[in-house]
Amino acid sequence: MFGYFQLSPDKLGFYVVDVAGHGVHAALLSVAIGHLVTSQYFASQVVSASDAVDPAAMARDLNERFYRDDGTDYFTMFCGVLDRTSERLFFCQAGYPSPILAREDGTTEIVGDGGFPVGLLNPAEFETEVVALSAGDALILCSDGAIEAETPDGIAFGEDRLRGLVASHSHKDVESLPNAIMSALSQWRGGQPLEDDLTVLALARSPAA
Amino acid sequence: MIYSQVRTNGICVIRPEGDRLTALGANDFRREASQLVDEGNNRIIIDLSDVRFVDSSGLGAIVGLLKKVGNRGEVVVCGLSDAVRQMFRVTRMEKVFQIFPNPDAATAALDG
Repeated sequence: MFGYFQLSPDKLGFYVVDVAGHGVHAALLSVAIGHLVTSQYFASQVVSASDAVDPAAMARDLNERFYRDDGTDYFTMFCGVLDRTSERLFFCQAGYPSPILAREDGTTEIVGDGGFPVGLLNPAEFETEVVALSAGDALILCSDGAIEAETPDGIAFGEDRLRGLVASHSHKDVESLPNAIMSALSQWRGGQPLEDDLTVLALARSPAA
Repeated sequence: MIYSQVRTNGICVIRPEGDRLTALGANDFRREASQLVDEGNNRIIIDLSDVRFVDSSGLGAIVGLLKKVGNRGEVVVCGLSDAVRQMFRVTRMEKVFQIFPNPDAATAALDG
């Protein structure tokens, strides 16, 4: 599940969420998150009166709302704000797999080094981190269904292979990347359907004019 | 289902069956492990030596056990494969659980 909001002419907010588990319980939690995280809620949590952005503040609020002492329902999330003026991405990684940053020059980087999931533990610390995101760069987020996809022999696709796939894909063609990832995973699985659901979100900054 | 072995001083080693702890077996794992806690075992070593993959439901079950034991005891893990360790790293569970190479090292630390 994902969403994105134009917060101001220069700021784009987005989030991706992966609810733990399957079935009705997990589906209801997804629906609850989807209803809660509106453009208004996102902005009220993440953007301060002085226009500073802090995506971790939203993770903290969601953690307070969804944590239960006797529960095991939780979700992983990656949320961020892309600021076109400062050319920076402010983000909070809450247990979601690290995204891949594809630079305009063809190099790739793994973004973030982990963070607590939302609703699993309380108190839990959430941090806002920053990375440069220049014109022509792209950020690719995949839920854990991608790296955990296994061949019929039980070999996981893994982060390195995913990164290699992104690196080999033309960075000028970000829109076709989700489908390219889907077909690579399908091939990896030998045509078997994925065991887990999969979300792929690709964001690209337009190249400088 | 889980295999359990009670050692000294309320220390109990539990080992999930099979090489995957996922949505398929997470509820059973949690129920059976909870029962061991209810029986008075509150120093739990979760031995993941044979487990090569833990999904989000599996992690939920492990943390659920930690929450159940709470301040009454301890829950530690051992025998993490590379993939499981990576999952613990991305979710920061390496800051929540003490991690040991094997059940004997974990037992020595808890009993020390």
